[in-house]
Formats: sequence, C-alpha cells, structure tokens
Amino acid sequence: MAESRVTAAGAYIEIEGRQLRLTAAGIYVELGGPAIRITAAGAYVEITRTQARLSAVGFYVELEYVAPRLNASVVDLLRIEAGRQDAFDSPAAMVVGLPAIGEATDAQEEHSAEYDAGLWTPVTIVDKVAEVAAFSLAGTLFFETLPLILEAGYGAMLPDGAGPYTYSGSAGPASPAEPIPYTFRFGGDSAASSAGSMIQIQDAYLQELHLEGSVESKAIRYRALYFGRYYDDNGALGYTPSGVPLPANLGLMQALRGTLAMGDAGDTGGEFGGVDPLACELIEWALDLDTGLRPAWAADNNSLRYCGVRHIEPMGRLIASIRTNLNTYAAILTRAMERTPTALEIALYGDDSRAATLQFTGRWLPKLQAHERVRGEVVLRPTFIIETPAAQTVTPHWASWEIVNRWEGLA
Amino acid sequence: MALIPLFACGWENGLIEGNATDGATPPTVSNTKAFTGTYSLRVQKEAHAYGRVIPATNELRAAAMFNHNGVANPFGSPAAQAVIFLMAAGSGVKWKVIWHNDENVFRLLQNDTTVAEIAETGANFTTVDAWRASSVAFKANASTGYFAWYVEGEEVLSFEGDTGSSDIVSVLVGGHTTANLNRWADFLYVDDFWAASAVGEGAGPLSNRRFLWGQASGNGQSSQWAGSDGNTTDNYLLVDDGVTPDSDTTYVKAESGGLVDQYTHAAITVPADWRPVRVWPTVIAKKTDAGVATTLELGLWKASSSEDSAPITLPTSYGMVQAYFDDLPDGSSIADEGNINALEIRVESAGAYS
Repeated sequence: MAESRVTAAGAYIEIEGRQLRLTAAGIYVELGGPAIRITAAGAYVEITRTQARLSAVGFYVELEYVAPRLNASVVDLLRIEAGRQDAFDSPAAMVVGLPAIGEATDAQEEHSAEYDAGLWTPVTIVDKVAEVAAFSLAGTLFFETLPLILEAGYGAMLPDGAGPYTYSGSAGPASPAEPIPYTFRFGGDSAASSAGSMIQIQDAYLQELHLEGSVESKAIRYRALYFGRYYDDNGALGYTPSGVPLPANLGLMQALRGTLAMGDAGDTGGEFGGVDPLACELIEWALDLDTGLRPAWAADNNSLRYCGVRHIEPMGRLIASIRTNLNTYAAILTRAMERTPTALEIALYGDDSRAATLQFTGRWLPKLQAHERVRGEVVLRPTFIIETPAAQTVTPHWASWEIVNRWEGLA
Repeated sequence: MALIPLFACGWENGLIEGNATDGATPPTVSNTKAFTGTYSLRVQKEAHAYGRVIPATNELRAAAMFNHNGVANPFGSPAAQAVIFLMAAGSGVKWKVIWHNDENVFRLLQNDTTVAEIAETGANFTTVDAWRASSVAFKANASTGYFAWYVEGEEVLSFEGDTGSSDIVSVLVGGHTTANLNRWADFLYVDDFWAASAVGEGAGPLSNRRFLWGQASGNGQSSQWAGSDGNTTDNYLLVDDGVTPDSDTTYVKAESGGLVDQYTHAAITVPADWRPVRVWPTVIAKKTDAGVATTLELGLWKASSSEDSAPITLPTSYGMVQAYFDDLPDGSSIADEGNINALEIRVESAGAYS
C-alpha cells in the first residue's frame, strides 16, 4: 500500500489500473479513464493493490460406502431378476424373477505395463482397459421362459393370442433380426439384510444355448451363456432385490413328451409338413446353438464398454442317441452317407395346450457311431449340423421355432 | 462410468455454500440435524430451492441426503409442490422432482408440465425424520434424453425422450414451486450434496457420499500470504472461522502471484463402513477487483510432495471455491485415515494483480 497526499486544491493524481480511495468519503474510484481531481487540500488518496483474500480454509474428505462384510449370520440370497430393455444402453426395471441357477462374472480386463525397473521384486503399472460381464443361466426349462431366452439372441418374440400365447421366431439366411437386450440382477452373498445384495448387468445378449433331453433325467435342462455390458455394483452400494414374481403358470418341459421327426429338405425351405416321425427310438438329445452374437468393440467410442452387438456366423448342432434298428439305421445312416439335406423337427408338449416346435434344416454328418452301447442299448449317435443347402433357393430355411405357453411375457 | 465431480457440499464451514437460487428466500444452515458432521442445510417452508451454479453440462447426476417432516397443507391455489431436486437449463427450462402433497404423488416436471409421476406409496421417501439417499440423472437430448429420480439407489421415476438440447447450468435442492405457499413442513434438512457431469452413460443413480470437514487449525510448511493482522505469523488463526465465517474481519491476502500458504487441519475420523475416496480443498475466498483476472490454485501437501489444481477464477464476494484430488501427492493410499490427517491444505495465489 502506498499513500499520496494532495496538498493543493485542484491538483490531479493519475494512476492507471489502480483503485483510489478517498478516505474521507469512503468511496472507490477506478482510474484509467478521466482524471480524478481532489478539490480539498489535505485529503488523502489511498492506493490499494488488487488482492485475493481467504476468509476460511479447510477441506472436505469424500467418503464412499463400503458394503458390509460377511459375518456369522450370513444368509445367502441367491436370486435372479430380469427386465426387457426398450433399447441398448437403457437398463430396464426388474419385471420378472427367473426359475434358474445363475452365475455372474465381472469379466473386466486390465493391462500391466511392463518396464525395466531395475528392481528385484515385481513392479507394475496397471490399469483397467475394458469392462464387460458374463453370466450363465442354467436349470430346468419351462415353456414360459424359453421365449425370454431366445429373443435375447435371435430377435423379438411377441405373444400372439389371448392365452395360450404363441411365440414365433427364426434365424435364417436373411439379415439377422435385432436381438433384444435384457437387464439382469443377480443376488449374491449378503448379510442378513437383503439390502444391497444384488449386482446388475445391463445390455445382456444370449451368446450360446444348450438344451438337452433324456429318458434318464426326464426334464429338459438348459444352460444359456450371456455377455453383458458391465458388472454394475451400484457404486459399491449394491442393488436391493425388487421381489418381482416368477412368470405366471410355469409349465415344465419334459423329455418323455417329445417327438423327433425328419424328412427331405427340398428346394423350398421351411416345409416340414412331410417329415417322417420316429417312434420309440430317441433316447436322448442335446442341442447346441451359438447365436453368433458378440460384443461390438470399437476404438472410436471413447468408452471401455462395448457399443453394441455384432453378428458372426451362427452355428447349431444336434447330437442324438437313437436306438439302432432297421428303420433308424436306414433313415439316418443312409441320409448321412448321402449327405441328404434334411428337415428335422423336435416337438415337445405340455399341459394346457403348451407346446414347443423346433425346426432345423441341415444334414446328418457321415462319421457316426451306429452301434454304440448306451445304458445297455445299442444306439446310433449321429450329429446333425444346421445349415441351409445351396439348392434350397425358395424361402431358404436354417432354423425356426414356435412356443405356445401360458405367460404373456414381458413385451 | 465416466463421472466428473462438480462440487461437494456439507455445509460444515457454516456458509450456505450455494450461489444459485430459485427465489428470494434462502434456506439456512443448522446444527439441528446432520447426516455427516454437525451442520446441514435447513429448508423452512417459505424457502426457495437453493444450490450451485455448475459448468454447463449435457449429462448431470446429483445426489444428497434428505431428512424431512413431511409436506405442509396448501392454503391456496395452486396446490403446494415441494421441490426435492431442481435442475435449471441454460434455456430457462427447469426440471424438477417434486412431492405434490395435495395429490399424494411424486412427479418429474418440465417447468410445470408433468412428464412422469408415481403414487406416494411407490417411493421410499415419505417416512419423516429419517435420512434418505436420493439422486437424479438427466441428459439433455431431443430424442435420447432422460430424466430419472432414485431413492436409496432404486429408480422411482423416469422419463425418456425429448428433454431438449439445453445444457444444465445449476442444480438445486429443497424449496417449492410457487411463491408464498407452504411447501415442506418445517423443516427439510439436506446434507452431503454433490453433483457430477456424466459422459456417454445411460441413466443411473449417483452413489451417495459423505463429506467430512477438516478445518484449518495450524501453521503448515509455508506462510507467505499477508494476514489482516499485518504479519504472516500464525495465519491459520485468520482462516479458522469454523461455523461462523467472519468475512473481512480476519483474513489473509495475496497481492501477487506465486505466494503459498499451507495449513494443517483438525483430524478427521472416518466412520465404520465408509472409506475416503477424494479430498476437496475448500476455501471461502474472493478477489477485490472484478476487472482483474485474479485466480487461486488449491492443493494438497504431504511428506514434501505437493499437487495443485488448475487456476480457479475467484468470485468478487466471498464464496466457496473448491478443487478435488483422487489421490494424495506422495502416492500414499487415500483410503487411509492417517494419510488424510497428515495432509496440509495448500493455497497458491495466481493470475493477474494490479
């Protein structure tokens, strides 16, 4: 601070870029424009520099909640809930509980940068480079849950009818349908309170589906593998189970209430009317489907998460154990050796008009076991691969399905 | 999730810590109830929504702890509408989460137009005298916008679609939608208020956080600012105003750039089940000349290492100025209470002086 005293009336003081204070009047005047004239002798002009001032200093320490640790009174709350998303990157509210066993995995990736540190013990620079999640659903298959699983891999399946409800879908040579993303929540280890016990995975798509039916196990069982966008623990708070109910009117799919039929796949695809049924010959079957869906990673998305899904070639195969006899030996081995394009249909039936019809076009592979022993029976163990014959030029067919059930679904 | 923190606010330094208002009547700061520390924002029934101006952002998330005594009955028309969150867009549009106490619903409003609503019973928010974690998520977009409200991490209300194209420029809590009518029954308390801009993310809740206050309480490694007592000795005595900031009664000042003051602070105690994740040096500061680009750098010092923020423009009247750090300058764990307590708060004058 400096002071200048004006001793004569009418004297001028000019200081650019400073403030002048006339202490007698207590007013501020900023210079740089017109001059300031002090008209009274003896008045003081106080020049003050620009200041930064602090009146109070401290800091906030930001705390995040750390989920309670397990203790002796732990109750394992294992539960799966799901919601059908309207769009990608838009997680859905939970709408239905699933009758399944689930395992969810945080599949994020990290990268350790190697360098020569001149030290004996390991030294790393590590960071997360990708976020993604994976999970599986497994258990007994129900007519009501099969559409929910399939549409996350092959496109929307909307119910037709007022009950029973018919769901239809397909995969074929034409452009693939847009699969429906789902949001899932999985319960995990938790303290006695269920609050915060669940994690969420959004933008989940079906990658693989395995179905199997057997006269031994009776119920149709399945295992579905999904990938999801990221393992969301709600900022370490977890999600609380919403308690949404299971699908209404669940109908168990049973192996003993099925049929297997086949016939020639002609130049026109999708014609299954003439398939020839087998009778009392199918012992077990296992169907493996790869939807061809994969995460769409991109280097121009400025995100550690995938930005959509992409389609690679889908695959499917059926491995069956069929009693070896004149009928099946001729029907299957002959077809296999001649590489006959074949239309194959698995039908499963339930109570209250429930039914599931799975239709595939392909062929039996020629290298097969025709006289394998399974539980004391001699069986054929052929493998049927799903593929569209090149000659099938009219409505070429790969796979299609129709499920009739008693649940209106999530749509 | 790409979140960029915007501010942290616990009202522990006694200032209202806000610089945005929806009306003429501000709430007050009170020690009657607090979720963290001693103080919280107390919203009387006449008060208007209050909060902070933020850098314009397309996607915003904000969270706070709320403790209320219900909503007051209206005595006129239109019916009372107690505001929980209010986000103001640059266009002037106000996006609000309200409790409509006459119709017993919670609503999302675009100005006064309802875009989503739920019955009172559908939200875990009506219990009086109980702290509730609540947050909002908003994205401005003419087709893929969203606006959602969460309680205890669960979505209660959401709207997807056209939310316009105007960025949010301030976020506020409490208050009411129409002047001169009762809204919150005395009183609504708000604590641990913070906000973040989101980049490229869908709607989702913002984790609720707690903010412990560490007041300057001792001399640090440097004392270069001039005290209002005419020296540079024991500067901490001039800035440890506690819950009653004394404005220009005592202060420290810098008249040139590059001057560093450091302060030790009152020890913090981290409560069980919580862990430190970020430190926010926070000062009540101003510059004396609006026409000069005087700035301030805020930082941390520990064990001979320091880190400073980018220069922050100072207001022309005393207001809250903050920066944040996700790690400590010496590389030690920020989650360790002992490391936090070993920190010194660092301020450095910067910018222009004349």
